Amino acid sequence: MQSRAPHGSLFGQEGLDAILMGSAFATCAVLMHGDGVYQLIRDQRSSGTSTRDYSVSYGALGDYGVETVFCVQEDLTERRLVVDDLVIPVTVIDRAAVASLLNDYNTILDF
Amino acid sequence: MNEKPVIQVDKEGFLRNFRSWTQTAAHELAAQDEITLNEQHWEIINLVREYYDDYQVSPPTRVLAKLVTEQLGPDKGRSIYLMQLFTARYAKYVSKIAGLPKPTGCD
Amino acid sequence: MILHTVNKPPSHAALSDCLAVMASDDLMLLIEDGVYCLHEVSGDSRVHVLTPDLEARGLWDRLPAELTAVDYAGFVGLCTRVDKIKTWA
Repeated sequence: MQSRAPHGSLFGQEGLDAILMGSAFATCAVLMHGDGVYQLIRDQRSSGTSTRDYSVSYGALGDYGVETVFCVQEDLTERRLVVDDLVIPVTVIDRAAVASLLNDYNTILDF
Repeated sequence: MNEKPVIQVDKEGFLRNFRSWTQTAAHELAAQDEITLNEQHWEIINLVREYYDDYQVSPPTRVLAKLVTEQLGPDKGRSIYLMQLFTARYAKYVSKIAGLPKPTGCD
Repeated sequence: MILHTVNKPPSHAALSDCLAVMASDDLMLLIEDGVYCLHEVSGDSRVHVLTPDLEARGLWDRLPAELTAVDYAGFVGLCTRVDKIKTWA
């Protein structure tokens, strides 16, 4: 579960690394929650900052066997984002569905 | 005068700056692991570099096998084929020779 | 006259805390994750946004017309126009 914006901290990058690594051992899905959806905005150009644009790496998730990336409709709306603004196709769920989604998995890793 | 340019590598032999990679550097990196590069090696190296260019990640073993199978056919995606080219730890060595970071999860 | 810098997204209290105490002739600069606040302050001409941080977050084409984009040199310029700087983080 990714809950933070990119660039402001290394949590997002660390979280993505954990997903790529964890996908070798278990069936994983990703929930981009709250500010976490900011990580998926297209066209991040980090040449003017000391951070790295790792959003393109989300495109590799399918090759790692991570088939589903979830986003919450309300999180997108509150941030004036639509699915076309994002670098990869996502599965959009309602906020009310998050609780049962979290219940579907044995372990939750938070970043 | 004719000294070879020294390539900067970390303690595991991975290129410090992947932008400094050249085909000559690849030969040098391969030689350190006693691998002599031929056409079969290059098609894998180029594939892995393209993958990195697209996704900014070095493919680990299972992703590499899948990628090679999709792009170059199932015969080349077999681990025995990749092992013959790049040793038993082929995912690590392909990335190393291609001048990319070590794949996540390799030790 | 104070320059207020905000470096947290709207989900944090930094922006609302800042707006609550900001004087009419003060200036605001959104930096780092603060640039995600650009929709919340659209229409407020006191607000400036640091371009490299906007670009890094993929928001360069979403800047509302009333806001002013500044580069690092512009950041320094803003600092010289004010008496002091308050950081909201």
